[in-house]
Amino acid sequence: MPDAGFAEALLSLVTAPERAAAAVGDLLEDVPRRGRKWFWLSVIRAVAATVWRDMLSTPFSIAAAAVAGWLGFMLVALLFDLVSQVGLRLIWAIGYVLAHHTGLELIVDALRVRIDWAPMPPALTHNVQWIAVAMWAPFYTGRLVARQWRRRALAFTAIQTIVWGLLIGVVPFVSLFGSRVTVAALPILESFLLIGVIRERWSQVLAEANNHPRGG
Amino acid sequence: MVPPSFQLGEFEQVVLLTILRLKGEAYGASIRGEIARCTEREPAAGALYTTLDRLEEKGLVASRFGDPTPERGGRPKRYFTVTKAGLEAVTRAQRSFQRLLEGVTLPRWAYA
Repeated sequence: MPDAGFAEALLSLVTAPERAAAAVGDLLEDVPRRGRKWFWLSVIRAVAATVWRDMLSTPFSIAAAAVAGWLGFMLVALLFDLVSQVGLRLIWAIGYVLAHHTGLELIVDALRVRIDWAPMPPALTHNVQWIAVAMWAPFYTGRLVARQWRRRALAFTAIQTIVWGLLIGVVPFVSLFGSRVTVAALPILESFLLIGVIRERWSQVLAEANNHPRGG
Repeated sequence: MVPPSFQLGEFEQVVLLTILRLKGEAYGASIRGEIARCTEREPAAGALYTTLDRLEEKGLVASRFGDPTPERGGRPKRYFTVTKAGLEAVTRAQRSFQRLLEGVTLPRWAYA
């Protein structure tokens, strides 16, 4: 017997939980005759067909929202970039103070160990900015998208992937982050956007399941 | 002119006619099985569910959930019925086909 609960959760990402349950129940009826492979293929195709239908239902309004989403993402990325760089310098400064202006320094001197507190390496700020702009910000934006679009969030994300691919090639993303976070980050950025959407949808599905437990 | 929501695609007509054939026993698995039996084509589950949802959004079918059953892992059946608007739409579509067929002589094997 396939893991019907997981299949139901997958379908619930794109449709109402009770509809997902009924659809999985229908597919389960045919599993003894057709097998597990057919079951999982049917589930995946049902998810894909629903996303495709949602994409085609209002493509222009979704695309317009995706452009607005890009501007929102830019704001989030700038904010997270600022917070991460300030946070990094704060941690670095605390480390410096601990190493040079506390009793720790005396202990280290007594042990005749020398601590050199080198300037912050550029690679560290680069990597932190990369994580903030190309991973953390799109993940958070994905969660916001899922809160707004709920069952249509995956369709929105699919169109957003195309629109953002066009927008990243023009200003202002490259001019803001171009020296360190380039266009090459797009696949990672969009992957984290999708992970954020799925993460938020998953918690919505679990919350709906808890609010409306199924009997029987 | 037929309103856009009453314009039916071929598969939408197939689904509506199948629900009418099955009367009160039309749910996902039975609709898929009946379509396969009558048309000798097995519809993909995804295509069927998106079509049923679209027909419901258009107000051409209505659905209700039955009681959960153990053989379906405690999952309910979603039963479909054709609404008055759905009946009008499928009747209009079939009349169009009949008008197109009038005066057309199909070969004998077409009825085999």
